[in-house]
Amino acid sequence: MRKGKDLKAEWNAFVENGSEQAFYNLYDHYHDYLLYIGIQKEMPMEKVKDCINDLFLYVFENRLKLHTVNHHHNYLVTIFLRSLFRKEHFSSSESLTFDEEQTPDMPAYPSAEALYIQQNVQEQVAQTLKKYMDKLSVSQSRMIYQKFYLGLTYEEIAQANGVSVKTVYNTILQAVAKLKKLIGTQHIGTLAVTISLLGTLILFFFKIS
Amino acid sequence: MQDTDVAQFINQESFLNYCFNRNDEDVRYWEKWLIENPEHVLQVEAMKQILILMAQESRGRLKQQHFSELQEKIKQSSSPQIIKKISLWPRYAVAASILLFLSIGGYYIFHKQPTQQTAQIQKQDIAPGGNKAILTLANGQRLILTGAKNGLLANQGNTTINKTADGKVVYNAAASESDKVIYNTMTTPRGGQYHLTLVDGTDVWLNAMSSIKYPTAFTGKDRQVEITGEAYFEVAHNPAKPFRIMSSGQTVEVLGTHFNVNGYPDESETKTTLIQGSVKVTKTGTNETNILKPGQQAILSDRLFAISNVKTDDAIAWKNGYFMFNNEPLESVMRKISRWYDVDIEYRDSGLKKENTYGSLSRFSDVSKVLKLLELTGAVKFHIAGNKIIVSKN
Repeated sequence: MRKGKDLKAEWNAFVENGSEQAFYNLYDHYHDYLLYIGIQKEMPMEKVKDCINDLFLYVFENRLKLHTVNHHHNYLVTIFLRSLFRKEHFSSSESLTFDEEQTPDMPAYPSAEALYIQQNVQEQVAQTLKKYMDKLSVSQSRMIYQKFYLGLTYEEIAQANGVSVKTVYNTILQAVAKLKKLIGTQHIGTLAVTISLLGTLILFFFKIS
Repeated sequence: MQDTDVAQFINQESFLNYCFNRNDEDVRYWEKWLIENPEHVLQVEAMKQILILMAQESRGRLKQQHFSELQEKIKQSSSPQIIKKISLWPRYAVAASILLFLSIGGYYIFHKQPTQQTAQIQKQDIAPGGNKAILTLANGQRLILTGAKNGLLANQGNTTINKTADGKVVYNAAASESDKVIYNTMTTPRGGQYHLTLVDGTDVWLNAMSSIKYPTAFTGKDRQVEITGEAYFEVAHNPAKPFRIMSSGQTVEVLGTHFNVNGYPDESETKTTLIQGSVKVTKTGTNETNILKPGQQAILSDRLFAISNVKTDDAIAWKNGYFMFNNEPLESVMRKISRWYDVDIEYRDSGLKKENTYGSLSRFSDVSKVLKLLELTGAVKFHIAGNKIIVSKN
């Protein structure tokens, strides 16, 4: 899984040439990461999301001032946290007080394996999944993302969404059980067999990569 | 076990850590549990896949929603100049979808969007090139290799020339080193490519409209061949006999390595791309040399002799059976199509030649699929008339 520090080329492409693709790639990464650390710091989801968008709005509009930033990752994370806690104004000056311990890495996510599954899933299963996810409420969808993608604890999720831990448990469990039922044992069986034949090889590959 | 029981596992952090490969200890625990409870393997594997699919899907939705909000904010707060920039987004969407098409395989998409344009193209389609070459022996005898049967093609001195089941030509020398050197030439036509193995074990892949002149035995201090057009080499290692390749305006010298030389007469530059090992490129008639490291490309033109870092995948895509266009001008792409599909290209608007293109597709697709992919950029449209592709503004 790529880390923010690996996105130097994207940062440069955006700051120097205004590349929209690079801007999107930066958002694609930091949207997850900043939500993760924001929620870990016991901030409500909605507020964390607003801070992320304000940060990226600032970056988009002040691109030319950002030439002086050397460590884009430290810069983004630091000014994000400052604004999250104190609602300070954004600035283009690079902070010297970046604290690595305050900003842990996200738990591992098997991106390559996920991509493989997504590409090889049966059309029917993919359709069922999409239809089902359409029906979920925003808050249900958020909790699934926070639990499975971000790997946050049930307690952290409860806090971020202003609900009880029991509600988080039940919401996620019901969502999974219902989807499993909709997809049906038959399709899961076929899908799983294909994967398990390849599974050993693939998992080995992911572990070394 | 009931279905719901497996679903209950997700209330255990250790099971989620196993599914998302987050913690070695939990992974080991559940792998061991599955060995002891093999009747649940399928259920657990399916559950894991559902969780991963749900994670991906929910992430995509949320991010898209939040990013739309950001775009809205940018629109509201900024100057007209920035609004114009935002309107570029759909182009990236197009570029992204083209990339997506590749992974799906092109085929699917083209058949799902039966527009009139496609119908028109498909009526008159042109099949891709294939393994075709002409082998000219030293005595002037010409062997056409397309339809030739497997087995012995010819005997030359102490060397036998054989064609293998997969269509490649192999030289076997039983020769003594004193044998007189005989030169053969292998030429590919428009719409042809060929793979041959030289007598020292070096593998050569010739792209369309290319040729290689080579001896049937390497008797001297070095191994020397001459090429035109484009060829990919996997040179057999032999430090005692350097391998020299003469091509348009340059000589490449190697000991044993993998690299590609592209020096078509209708291209303004000769490009030598190194995949592994090390090669020395010398400009003909001068002492100017460039030594390449893997991942580097030497570019030689009338005005320039320089090195740049490149994606080697792009340079050898043809040898691996792909077209790969990465920010490549349309005219360069169309020259490749012309060579491989044996067609002529006509531009209604020469300004289009500089349009940049992205995308990749199997070289063994019919030409209409390649053209359809290029049309996705929105700038150009194509019309097939007999043996000619007409390029016009969309």
